[in-house]
Amino acid sequence: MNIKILDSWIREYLKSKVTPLELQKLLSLSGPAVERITPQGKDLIYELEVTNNRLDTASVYGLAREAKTILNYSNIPAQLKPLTVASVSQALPEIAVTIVDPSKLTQRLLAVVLELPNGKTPSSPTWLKERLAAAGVRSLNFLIDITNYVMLEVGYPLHVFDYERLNTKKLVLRKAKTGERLTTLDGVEHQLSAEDVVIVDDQERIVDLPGIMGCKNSVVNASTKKILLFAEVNDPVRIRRSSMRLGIRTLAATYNENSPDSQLALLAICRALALYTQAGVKLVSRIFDSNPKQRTLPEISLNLADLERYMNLKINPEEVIRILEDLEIKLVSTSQGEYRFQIPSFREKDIQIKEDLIEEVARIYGYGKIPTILPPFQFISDPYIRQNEAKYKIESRLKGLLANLGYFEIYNYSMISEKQNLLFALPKNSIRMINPMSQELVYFRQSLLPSLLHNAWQNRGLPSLRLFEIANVYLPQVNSLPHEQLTLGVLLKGEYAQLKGILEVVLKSGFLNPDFLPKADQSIFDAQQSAKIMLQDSQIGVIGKLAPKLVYDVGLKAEFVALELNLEAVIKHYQAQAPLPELNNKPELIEDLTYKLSSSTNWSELVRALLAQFKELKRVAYLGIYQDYVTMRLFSQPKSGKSLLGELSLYLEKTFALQIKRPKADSSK
Amino acid sequence: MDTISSQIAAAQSAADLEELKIAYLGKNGKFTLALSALKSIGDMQKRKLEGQRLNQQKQDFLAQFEARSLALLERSDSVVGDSTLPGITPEIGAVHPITETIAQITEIFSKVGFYRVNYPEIEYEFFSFDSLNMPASHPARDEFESFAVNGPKSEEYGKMVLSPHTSSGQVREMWRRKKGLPAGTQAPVRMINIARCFRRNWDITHTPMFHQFEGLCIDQGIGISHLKGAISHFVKEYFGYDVKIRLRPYHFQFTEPSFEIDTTCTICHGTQLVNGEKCRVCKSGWLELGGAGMVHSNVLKAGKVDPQKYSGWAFGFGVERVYMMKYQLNDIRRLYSGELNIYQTR
Repeated sequence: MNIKILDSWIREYLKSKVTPLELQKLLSLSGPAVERITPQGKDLIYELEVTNNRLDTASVYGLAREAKTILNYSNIPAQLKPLTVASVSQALPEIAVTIVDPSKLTQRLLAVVLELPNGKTPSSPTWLKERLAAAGVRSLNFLIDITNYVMLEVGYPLHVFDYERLNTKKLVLRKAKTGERLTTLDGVEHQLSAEDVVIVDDQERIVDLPGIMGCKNSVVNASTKKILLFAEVNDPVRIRRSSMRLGIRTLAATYNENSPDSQLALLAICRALALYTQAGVKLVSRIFDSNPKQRTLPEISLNLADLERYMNLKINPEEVIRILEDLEIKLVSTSQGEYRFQIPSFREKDIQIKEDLIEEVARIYGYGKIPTILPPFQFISDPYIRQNEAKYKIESRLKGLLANLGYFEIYNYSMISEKQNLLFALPKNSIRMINPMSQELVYFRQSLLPSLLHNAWQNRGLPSLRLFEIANVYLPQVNSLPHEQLTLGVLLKGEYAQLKGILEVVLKSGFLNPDFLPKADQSIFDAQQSAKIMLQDSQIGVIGKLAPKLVYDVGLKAEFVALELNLEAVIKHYQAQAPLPELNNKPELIEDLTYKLSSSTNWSELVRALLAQFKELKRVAYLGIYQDYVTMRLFSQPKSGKSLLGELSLYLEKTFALQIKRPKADSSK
Repeated sequence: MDTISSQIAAAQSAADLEELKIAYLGKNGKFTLALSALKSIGDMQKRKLEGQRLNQQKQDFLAQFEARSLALLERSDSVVGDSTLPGITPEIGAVHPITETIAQITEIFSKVGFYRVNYPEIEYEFFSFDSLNMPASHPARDEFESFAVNGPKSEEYGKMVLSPHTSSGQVREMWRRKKGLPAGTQAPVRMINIARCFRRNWDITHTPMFHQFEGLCIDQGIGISHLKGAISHFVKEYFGYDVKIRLRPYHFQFTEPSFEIDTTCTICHGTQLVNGEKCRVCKSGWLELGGAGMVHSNVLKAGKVDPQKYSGWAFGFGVERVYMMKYQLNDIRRLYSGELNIYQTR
């Protein structure tokens, strides 16, 4: 939590010549962080960030106590001045209201009754108003102002009721009933649930939402003559849940949900009594305390060997003891290097294990004085690490390759909208956010293409678009976490063959021999201009021209081609290097063959068949397509040295009913 | 011969010369034909003389030819030009700044023996919270503002959540490195875990999805010094040799003690002054890097590591955060905008 405190207020308890800037620096390095100092008239406001384990420093007195130790250890003399508290005469009568908590919803309840001088509420003095204003608390009424002032000074929230408006013989703490309503003192009506705790009077009227905010029906006002000052030790989890659910985020709730020290409840009451009585308000009862017995304080042992291991230095026991005792952590016994310390109640929630004590010593000693040493070197390698290393290397290589081929990398969110999910006909079982922040980010992607096409729309003003992304897609699995599969998506504003060429280069960079089956069989692609990408007989991806309807639906009008590749499968077979090709001095015969496109077969199939059929054929390259005629270049090493062309042509004609274009007899000779 | 000389002298380009070469030395060139015609001269003496003469002519021709070639190459271009005009560039793309940053982080830590891993981004709450000393009732858990998802619940590890930090990989890595070892022993851990994380924050310095890099070091005798050493190594390698770090007390459930790590401002180098004016980037000469601490004994126990014997540290920093610190980017959302205006080469 963040709190703001005036310099003059801290110095009421901290006697030291330390300058504000020094105080800021030293506190930030060893205790709570002073984030900002801003001038306020002749005074200064410190803005502090207090971590929720150090609620004890979220108060003027607690901060002064912390500063004293830190300053003294930095050789800046400092003393803590005591709080002025009221003592209560045992001659006063006991409180006339019975206060009960039959379900033990609180640890402790405290209450006391006071009477206003001449039945009038004193007005709040300027210093009180200024200190509250600096802390960001609005001055309302002297009686309420004092409770807020004490909360900031001591660190414990109090509540003040109008005794006569309460008008009851009994106050009962109980759980609220579902649907019960109350109106808080700010006039807002709230509907309660069975998890909330309320205080009711003898007529079952709800008069308070303890620890969070008082009720309108019992709050002090201009005609108040008698008050009931009240404090309770609440269950922090309950406070947090209720205050969050009801949306009542008061400063009191913030303190109460962070387990303030229960001993402080009495101290806060006594401090408030001192301030009330100074203004002429009269005590008319003794303090009611439901749980007055002192708790035994916890003790923790610290072995100096552990301290030295954590700090990597030798520190003598006297210094350790001096630091801890100055923090009011008392040494109770010593035996064989084990030092037993008693933890003060205001640090009880924070200091629970020996490492907490190590932290206390180390932070006061100074983290800056601990040496800086690299961790001892360990060469660590195992198959999992190797496998990961290979994965990251290939991923980075592919990214570099694509960038050098002219493609720009995009990082998109892992989630897409329901609309995108539908548009791309993705499976309906996608992992979905239950509490999304935006309807644009709901479904976990099973494909990267919806995001990439959206990127194309975002950049639609650019003449050329070449985009890629490498990220996980999330494939749901039965009874386990989704499979997070590393995937490559590429999008190009352009023609199918251009992107197919990129795909071939990408796969070739890892010495992979992909195969292609016509038609991706996905509605997002054009049926003709799309293919399944195959590797060792399994499908590893798709490539195709995006269906014009899809492109139109996202608001674009150009031609787009896209591909998606399962990188896990690619990485499994990808080789960073391969042996050099064998030297081969045998003469190579190079011949070209032209055939007419046929709807019943395709290039991939023909090449596969030719290479399987003719062992002397080494390699087939694509030369081009002219009108309906495709030309392939055949590289062979026939033993006979004679052309394979005739045999091949016959085979293709017979097996695939292909029309082969034979060279015309050369008439010029 | 004079014809040849004047023809060579008249050649104005390499192409003209090439034509002459073909005309004289080609398959049907004058010299070629004349030399082959020598066979028809019956008189041996005459044939010899004629041969010598032709060869001499051919040598002369070649000499003049070479001289003219060189002269043409050396002739300065008379066209007015501008050698500083932009060249013809191939179209290149770029990798994203996050990719480059991750690559640098990985390399910097690998120099000191840290290996990179990644763990699930959609994770069970046991790994994201419970194993990190944050039981279900703990208020610290609300602060993570985490996202819930609709995946099936696990009997053992509870609900599925979006991992709000890379710390979710801590216990998984401890278990992995322990596998197959006798009880009470632990193989050392030097992990850098880099993954996507998700939190319910969306403003100029937060996006609902971002990347963290998590360091985890577990071994015998590991202390705060080693945490300082590793982080100091990182900031010097990544930001520059003059960059220093400091530790401030902080609180996290899964480390004890916990720290907030600051670096000296990468702009004013801790002087708070830039060209005589107050530095606009840092508050006090220091910038917040992120959180770190000594691994809490409850986390070690959840990782089946004996806290009496072993200790360790962990840190979790934002990948985007360090990039933004280094390159003065104020709005993290630009990195996820999907727009190509983040690239210089566009």
